[in-house]
Amino acid sequence: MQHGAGEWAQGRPGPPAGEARIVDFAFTREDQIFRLQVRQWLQNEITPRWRELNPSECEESEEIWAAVRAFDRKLASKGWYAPSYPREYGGIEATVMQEYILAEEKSLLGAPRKLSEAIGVQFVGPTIMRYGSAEQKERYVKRIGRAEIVFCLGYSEPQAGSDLGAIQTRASRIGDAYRVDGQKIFTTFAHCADFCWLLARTDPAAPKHKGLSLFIVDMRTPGITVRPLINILGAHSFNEVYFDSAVIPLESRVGEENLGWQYLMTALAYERSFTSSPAPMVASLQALITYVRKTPAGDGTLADDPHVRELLAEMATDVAASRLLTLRVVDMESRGLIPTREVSMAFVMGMQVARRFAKKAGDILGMCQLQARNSPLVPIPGPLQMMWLETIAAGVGGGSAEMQRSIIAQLGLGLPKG
Amino acid sequence: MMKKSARDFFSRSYPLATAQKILREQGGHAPHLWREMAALGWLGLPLPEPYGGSGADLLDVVVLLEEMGRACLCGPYFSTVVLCALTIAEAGSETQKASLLPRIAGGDLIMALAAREPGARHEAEKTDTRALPAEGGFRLAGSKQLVSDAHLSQYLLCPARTGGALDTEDSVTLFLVETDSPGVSCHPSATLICETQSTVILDNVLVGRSGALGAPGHGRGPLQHTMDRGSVARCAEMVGAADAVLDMSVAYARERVQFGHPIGSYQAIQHYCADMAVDLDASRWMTGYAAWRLGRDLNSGMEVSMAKALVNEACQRIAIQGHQIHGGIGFCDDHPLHLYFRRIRGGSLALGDTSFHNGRVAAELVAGRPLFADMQLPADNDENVER
Repeated sequence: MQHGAGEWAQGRPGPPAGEARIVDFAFTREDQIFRLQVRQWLQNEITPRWRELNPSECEESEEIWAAVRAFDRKLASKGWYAPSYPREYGGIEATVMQEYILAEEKSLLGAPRKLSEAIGVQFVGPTIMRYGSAEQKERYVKRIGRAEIVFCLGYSEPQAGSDLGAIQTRASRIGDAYRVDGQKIFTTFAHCADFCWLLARTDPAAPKHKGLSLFIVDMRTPGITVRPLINILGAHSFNEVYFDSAVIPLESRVGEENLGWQYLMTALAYERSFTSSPAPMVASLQALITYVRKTPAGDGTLADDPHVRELLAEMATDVAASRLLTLRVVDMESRGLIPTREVSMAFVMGMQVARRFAKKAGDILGMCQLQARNSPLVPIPGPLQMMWLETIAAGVGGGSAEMQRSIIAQLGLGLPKG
Repeated sequence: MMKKSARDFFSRSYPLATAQKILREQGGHAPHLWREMAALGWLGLPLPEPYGGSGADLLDVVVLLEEMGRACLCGPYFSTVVLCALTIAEAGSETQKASLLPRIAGGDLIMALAAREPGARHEAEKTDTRALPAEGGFRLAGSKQLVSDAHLSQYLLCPARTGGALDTEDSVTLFLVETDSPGVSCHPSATLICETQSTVILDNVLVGRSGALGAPGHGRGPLQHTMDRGSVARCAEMVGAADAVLDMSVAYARERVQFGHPIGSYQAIQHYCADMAVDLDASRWMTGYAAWRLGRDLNSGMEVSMAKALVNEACQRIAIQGHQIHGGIGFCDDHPLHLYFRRIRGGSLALGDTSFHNGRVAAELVAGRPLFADMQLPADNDENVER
């Protein structure tokens, strides 16, 4: 009886109770077929060299970067780099679920995948399609969809992280151009990007959220200096970016002056990076189980150790719950609903699960796992080595967990703003 | 629909003040309410239609049980319908089903699952109670402990050992024991968790052949299914209770003013509530997923145990955090908040505690059960065995 499933899905009061929604936990046949296609293609296309490299998300080198770019172009040739895009822009007009399946399979199989590559696809392309000029659509969207150009995100500043509206980087109008002065920080891949998607202040006199504009800035523009920041994994993935009288043409601006914040907020509602998806942990868990089953301990193997078993069970349960909360978001978007608190909930859960998972995996693998990468002592080389460091980013990058909790509390539960 | 009508029914017929009163004075069972629920068709909700039920699946029952949990309903619905009636529907003979299920659906029969034995940590852990062949039937001897609602029941569903060693397949039979049979004595005790639990002594109780549920020696499978359905159903109750706690806590946080502002405007309180909401939704969705799988006869042992393990812990966190938000007033007996805490505490230790369920999840994982069937990784090396 389907109606029970629909009613069960209503859960907390949220969108107005109308039609009972049917919730089916099974993927449709079409989606299962799609998943299989994606999987087979990925298995063929992921190179042996990439498997050898086996880098974690924050690891960085020229070889890794080149491999990622090459793989993205292969994906683009299938229309899978920006799958939701219209076909004219290089996508396959994929459904939300198809996008999700693609992202999951890439994670699961360890395909080359750089979160920041999503900037162009997730933020720039959709914003231009919605608010940009015909010329901007022509000039950028197709090249984004084909993985020909890479964007970095010029948002955060030293004094403006969670409080993004407080940014001070200034874009002053001078004739048919803008002059940009200021500084961005934690700008991932600014050192490799072709363009910067820049949020800058165009009207200092206006209330803070009402004087911001969005720009596409060519990273070769004179006056732009990129200074590396080494992250706690020892990798160069993000940077400081200084703008010192960098002059950009009028056509760099996307949409209208001083409406940048609005565009940004709309874009957030359509973001589909599925960063809360625990797919990478599914693969890690598999590796961990294989490892404990074959590793002698006491009279048997590690798999017989009750403490190890309890940890594995907790990790698996965490991953399962995190996936369900992520799928809920996908499910809502598939129905044309706009999830708000649900996205934040998936984010908070995803962060907690990732950090707990990393810790527990590390506890099982022990001190040997903490040796340098090339040591023969390392039980499971690869992302599991640094996951405990890497997952720090899960709660502070892409929005802080505190902001997300406040969204849940205020937008979701109706608690008053402080 | 069911959720709305259940919520309306409980807010009319069983508001919290009534719940508190019935718990204090009558130990939680309100016969008039039982009759009303029978009239609404709720007692027969998941039972097959030929026997007076509505044929609903487990996910529908989950909806109702969540509302019951929300209303803090303490009564024999869970024992009678979820633990016993569904077992009879699965394993009983035509005669047994025809004789018992319509009476249950009609509200004329209350039953309890008398499975837990002294020293056991859960209901299906061991069966020392013996059932020896005698006089055209069996004589049952043994004792059962911590049996919820036995004191209200006309029948008990009792696993007993009819076969040889305990771990052989054909060793256990489920018996329908009439509580007024000679040799049955029931010793009820109040608990701290809003229910009455009894020790049941079976002193050479004669049960006819027709009292063996289905064929003798085939009780272990159905008992495991009973545990699984019961676990999911108990999760649903805990989710409902936790939902009520969150609602009450948010309402309190909005009205309680300290230092010139509602405490709900302070970040600590907001973040407690946000964490509770995440715990609640994770609990709800894990329960729903397990119920969905069970209802479709998919391999679900792992998912059921994941749900129970998660819900046990998450709902307790919610209950405690709810108390924290309520401050002193939540520490008063008059305030219903502690009733939810008690219900959740009890639920977390019924039908397997977290440790037990984690053990089952681990056993499945180590045996090669994929975490998600649709995300099963391609078989690599040796060990990926698909179940």
